[in-house]
Amino acid sequence: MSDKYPDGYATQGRRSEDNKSPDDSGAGLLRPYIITGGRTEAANSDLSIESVIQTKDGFAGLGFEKRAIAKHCAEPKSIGEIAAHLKVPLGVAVVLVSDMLAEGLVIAHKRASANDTGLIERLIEGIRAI
Amino acid sequence: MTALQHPEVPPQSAKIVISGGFGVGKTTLVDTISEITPVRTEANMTAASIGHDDRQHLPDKNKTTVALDFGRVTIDETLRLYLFGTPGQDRFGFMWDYLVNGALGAVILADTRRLSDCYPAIDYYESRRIPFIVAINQFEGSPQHRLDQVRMALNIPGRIPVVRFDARDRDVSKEVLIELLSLLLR
Ligand SMILES: Nc1nc2c(ncn2[C@@H]2O[C@H](COP(=O)(O)OP(=O)(O)OP(=O)(O)O)[C@@H](O)[C@H]2O)c(=O)[nH]1
Ligand SMILES: [Mg+2]
Repeated sequence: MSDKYPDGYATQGRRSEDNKSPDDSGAGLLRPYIITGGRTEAANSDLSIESVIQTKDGFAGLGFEKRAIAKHCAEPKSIGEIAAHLKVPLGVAVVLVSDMLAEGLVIAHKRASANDTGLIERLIEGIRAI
Repeated sequence: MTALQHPEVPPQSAKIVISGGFGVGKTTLVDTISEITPVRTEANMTAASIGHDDRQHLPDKNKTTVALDFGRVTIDETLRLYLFGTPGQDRFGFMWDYLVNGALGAVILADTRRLSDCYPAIDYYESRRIPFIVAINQFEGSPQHRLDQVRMALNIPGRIPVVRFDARDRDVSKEVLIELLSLLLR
């Protein structure tokens, strides 16, 4: 019968939007902040796990981690890849790259927008091609 | 260094997130599609409850570490797609806002043996108006329900695609991503 839920579904069906507890609204969600090296600061709001970073001017005179990032990003890399390569937590990579951006050592690209039809079409074609 | 190695700007990046309950195939999907071995990145974050006085004096506010699945597809020289599996466990829910921020959309994986595991993900994307599709992973012993029955149980509108797939199969997994991207064009 098409009007019958499969076994067990009827009692377990997902609650509809208007049937939710106030706590589900998202308004009370905890905001993530990043700690590194004893410093606490908000993550650079423009940097996400997929932000792509590239080194601008080589890596002379940099400290250990930043030199590692500068070397790694001679070819463009995302924050996620940087964190994995340096074996540091994501939040640490965000703070290090934020510093390097402020110091003009690296550049970052803006993320893609879902409203960019041409870009979505390129993604579809690109996935087909792999 | 050549101009090619130093273009004016690094490639643009797009992100699709993969969500769903415990053991539903998120890592497998990232692995199947990614051109790099999925990076297992640790997210070590402290959730400070700014603006919530009642929580501000907790001793060690939700400090936690979690491994993230993270994969890459190079579309062309100037565009990359990153795939990213959200941590399944409820207690990492506070990180989702940060991780999902900027995503084009989400693929929510579901297993019909325990369909309710994906409700939190659907609630999350629905309430934030982030485009998503539901992809049913077929496991040993999963009941073969019709997709319209699954849609009814999930209580999602007809415009949201519900597809069947196998996260271990590259072509089928590619189609799932294309389904989500096509939704963005509608
Ligand atoms: N039959 C079948 N098995 C699958 C499929 N996708 C994944 N699996 C298997 O299911 C198991 C769990 O898959 P994972 O990809 O680790 O699931 P996950 O969602 O990343 O799990 P957690 O990160 O632990 O929440 C693995 O043994 C996979 O090989 C599928 O489409 N069909
Ligand atoms: Mg996993």
